[in-house]
Formats: sequence, C-alpha cells, structure tokens
Amino acid sequence: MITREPTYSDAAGNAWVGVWRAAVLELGSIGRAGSMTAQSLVMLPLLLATRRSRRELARQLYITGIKSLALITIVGMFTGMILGLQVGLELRRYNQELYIGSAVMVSLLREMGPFMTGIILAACVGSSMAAQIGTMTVNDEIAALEIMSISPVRFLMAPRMAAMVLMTPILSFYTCVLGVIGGGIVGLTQLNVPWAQYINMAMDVAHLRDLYVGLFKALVFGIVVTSVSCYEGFTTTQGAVGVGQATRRSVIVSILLILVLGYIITRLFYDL
Amino acid sequence: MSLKTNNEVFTEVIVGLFMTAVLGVLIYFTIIISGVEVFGGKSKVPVTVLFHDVGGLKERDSVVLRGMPVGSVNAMQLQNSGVRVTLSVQRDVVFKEGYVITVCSGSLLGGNYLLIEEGAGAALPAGTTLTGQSPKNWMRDLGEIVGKLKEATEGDRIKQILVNVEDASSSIKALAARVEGGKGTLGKLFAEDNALYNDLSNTVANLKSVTGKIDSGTNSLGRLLNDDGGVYADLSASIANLKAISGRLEKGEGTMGKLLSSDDTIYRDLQETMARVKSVAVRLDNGEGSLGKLMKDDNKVYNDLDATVANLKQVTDRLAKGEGTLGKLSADEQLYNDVHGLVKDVRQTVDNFRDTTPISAFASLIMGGL
Repeated sequence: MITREPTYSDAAGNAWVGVWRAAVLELGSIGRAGSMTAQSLVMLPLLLATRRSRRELARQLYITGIKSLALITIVGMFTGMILGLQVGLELRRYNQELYIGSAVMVSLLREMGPFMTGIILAACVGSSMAAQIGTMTVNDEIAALEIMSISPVRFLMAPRMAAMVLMTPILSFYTCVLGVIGGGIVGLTQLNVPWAQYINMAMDVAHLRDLYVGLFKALVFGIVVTSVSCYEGFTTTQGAVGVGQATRRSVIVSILLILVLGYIITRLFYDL
Repeated sequence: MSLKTNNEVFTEVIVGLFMTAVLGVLIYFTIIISGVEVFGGKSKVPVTVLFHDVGGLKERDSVVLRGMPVGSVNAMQLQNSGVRVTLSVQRDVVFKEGYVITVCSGSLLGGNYLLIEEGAGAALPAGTTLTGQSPKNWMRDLGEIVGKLKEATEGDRIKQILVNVEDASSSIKALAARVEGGKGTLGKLFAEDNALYNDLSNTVANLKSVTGKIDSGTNSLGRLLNDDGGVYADLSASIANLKAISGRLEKGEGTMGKLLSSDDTIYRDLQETMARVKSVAVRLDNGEGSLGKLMKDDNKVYNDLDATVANLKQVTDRLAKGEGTLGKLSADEQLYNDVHGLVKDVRQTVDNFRDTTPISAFASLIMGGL
C-alpha cells in the first residue's frame, strides 16, 4: 500500500538509533519514490488503452502545458532579456556586443531553457500535484482507491507523469524561443545590435546536439518533478498542516534535484 | 527499536540504497572528470620555483608538461628579488639538469599556465629549489613596436609615404594602360593578337623537335645522352689520364710538376733571372751602356749616325759621279792602268834597291874608312 502506518512504532532509544532510523527511513523513501516512478513510467502506454484514461491524460496535458503557458512566456522572455543584458554589458567593454546572440542561444538551449521550465513546473504544477494528492491522502481517498483495488499510481500518478513527460520538453523549447526573442529585443533596443545580425549569430552557434541535450534534460526534470510531487502527496500525513508541508517539500526537493541532475547531465554530455 | 518485518519496506530501502549509490557515483564521476580530485587523485609533491617575474600567474593555474596538466600553482610569495612559487606536481614528474620552467599565456585575452620541460641531464635531487624563466611581456613588446612605428612615421614622413604610394599607383595605372593597350611583352600576352602566342607555340614546337632529336640520338647531345657506354668509357679513360697527370704533378715530376712541387729551385732561378732582367731594364732606362744610350730620349747618337750616313751618301754620290781621286779611280780605267803601272814600277824599283843595298853598304864602309 502507498499509504501505510509508520515504519517504527516506538521511539528511538538514543541519538545513534535515531540517526540510523532516519537513514533507513530516507533510503526507504527514496526507494519508494523510485519504485513509484518506475511503475508510472511502465504504465504510460496503458493510458491510451481506455477512453477515460485518454481524457484524463488530455486534462493533465492542459493543466500542465496550457495553464503554465502564461507564466512560462513571461519567465522565458525575461530570462532571455536578462541574459542578453548581462552578457551584452560585459561584451560591450570589448566592443563585442554583437555576440550576445551566441551567448543567449547557447545558454538557453543547454541550460537556462530546461532549468527555468523545470523550476516553473515544480513551483506551479508540482506543488499543485502534491497539494491535490496530499489532500486526497489525508482524506483517505487514496486508501479508498487501494481498497477498491485501483492502483493510485496508475490512476493518479501515471497521467500526471505522461503529461509532464510530454509537455516539459515542449515548454522548454518554447522557453528557449521566447528567451532568444527577449535577448534580441534587449540587443536591439539597449545595445544597438541589429536584429538580423543577432539572429545570424544565434543560429550560427545553435547545434542540434545542444537542443537534444536540453530537451533530454527537460524530460528528466519533468519526471523528477512529478515523482517528487506525487510521492510527497502520497506520503502526506497530519491533515491540512501535512498538506502544506508536503507542498513545500515537493518544491524544495524538486528544485534541488533539478539543480543536481542538471549539472550531472551537462557534465556527462559536454567534455572539458 | 523494531523494524517492521515488511518485505515491501525492505525492498524500498534496497531500491533507495541503489538509487542513492547511483546518484553518488554520477556525482563522483562528473566531478572527477571535471578535473577536481575529490579523493586526492594521484600523489603529488610540492616543488618550489623562483621567478624574477611571474607575469600575472595566479594560484590554481595549471602546470603543464608536454601539453598535459600535471599539477597546479599552490602558493605565491614575494621575495627580495623575485617571486617564490610553490607548485603541486605529480610525483612521477622528475626534473633533470637543463630543465626549463616558463610562464605561458593561455590566450590573448589572458590566463596563464606554467610550462615545464624536464631537461635531459642528470636527475635533480628531490626538494631542489628550481629557477623559472620570466615570461615575455606582449603588451610591452607591442608598445615598443608601436613607438618605433610612430617614430618612423612622424613629421612629413607619412605625407612622403603617401606621395610615394600615389606615384606608385600612377605608375601601376600607366602600366595597366600599356598592358591593356597591348604594348610591351606583357601587353602582347594579354592582347587579342596571337602573334606572341604563335611565337611561343612555334618555340615550344621547336623545343619539342630538339628534344625529340635528343631523345632519338640524332645529334651530338642526343648521342651523348643515348650513348651505350662508349663516350662514358672515353671519358673514364680521359679522367684516368688526367688522374695520372695530376699524380705526376703532385709527385713533382716533369717541368710542371717541379713548378708545382715544394722544391723551389726553379722558382728561385726564375726570381734571380727576373732580378737580372730588372737590373738590365733599369740600366737601359738610365741610358747606361751602348743600348741604353741608343734608347735614351736625347737623339744625339741618332743624329750622329744620321749625319754620318748623310756624309757617306755624299761620298758615295761623288764616287759614283767619278768626282775626286777615289771617284776618278773608280770611274776612269786609264787612271787605274796608270796607277797600276806606277805600282809595278815602284815594286821593281824597290826590288832593285833591295838587290843593290849590300853593295852600297860595303862601298859606304870603305869610303867612310878612307
């Protein structure tokens, strides 16, 4: 069962026992989240099996993608503008502000696009997932599902996972496009870089490999956010307070994992 | 303390352990291959190097050996006459006599690294304080070059250069016009008139013909090139003869050999002869001796001879004309006969006197005694 009694029923005898129990519990939590993630990924094809599940998938796609679009647009645009301004100000010292297109494009494709998308989805969609599932958990709705032999992972987590797996790379690409446009606007208005020249410089350095690595990174971030958020939701306890804590933890852990995994993926794909 | 004996929980712990281990391995490898050695990496030893000038070298800059990073700069400290730099270098790097340590620029925009050349002599003992070479100061060198350029182009020199460039441009323009007009050899080459091309074509055809003859061996050069070894044998024999001659010359045989040999008898004889010739020439030049007097610039002897010859001519003319006694003697046969008869008579008289001399002498003695 996803919802279950605490592992330890008695109090820890001393500090070392407490540390040991905490380590075991953390490892168990990680393993549980990993198992849930694996199950949800395996169940993704089943979402296309029934009409109800397809409708649920479409609903999750709408929530994840369309409802986040406004925020993603603003964040993506301003991310590009900030990048263009900062890089342009530095390059202007060497009269090389023409190269902001290259810097903005490379930064967004490789790192900033997926990273900002992951952060936004963790804050918007992930927290919403954790709160929704957490509320269901504290209201024993998850337990009811399990009693009815309905897998909560398949019923609740798999559609959200599918939606995030599909939408995160798309939103990441969208962020990159808007970021490049934002950088171009700053270049045009603040640094006197002609638009055509900005685009030429940006396209010169844009390689498909950078795009693919960025999209892969976004895919991983989507899986991480969904896994963390759903896990936090499924393990929520202590009523409304627990829901708040689960929501907060889901955002914190998601952002931390996005940062750590972002670095690892970047390092694995790019040699020094 | 009791862990619920729940297989599901145990499985979750194992999965969690596995995921944590995987994440740890990923982090370890990504940090290791980034160049940061988490667990110390290869064993390293400190090396101290003294520099007069480090040219912007900073702590944590790389130390490179044969293009491969082998350590980093740990610490830098100013000393009285330079900078004491402490490196952390892999233990297997051995410094030998003739080593070179230089601060190199990583790029034009900055960044330095320390380049090591280990040297080829005997290995230096561990802990030896090494000496590094000061880096080249690009900006200073560039400044000097600019200063020299400025010095070379100050005043009216730029104007003069521009005037020269303008003149050169005019010349090139005129030259281009000539070429365009088909004047000169180059112009003819570019001209539509194919005369030069035809000449060249004919020349090439001639060359082809000549090379064909050479190739076929129908002329002297061709025979030389196509010879089956006879000429080579002759040349070889000639060279052998030359070798023999040169051998004899080297041995000092024959006149040429003696001339070329270390025996300088002939040389000394020649020198002596030349000295004598010189002495004679000096005497001739000074007008000494009969020949010298003849060669002297004043024409006294010549004039005397000329006058004598004139007198002789006059005498011979008179003789030819039969003037004077001698002339008459040579021209008048009667006189010759008379003189001839006179001579005969005188001879007879003398003979007669010779015959009568004893009688006269005796008669004188008698007559004297009386």
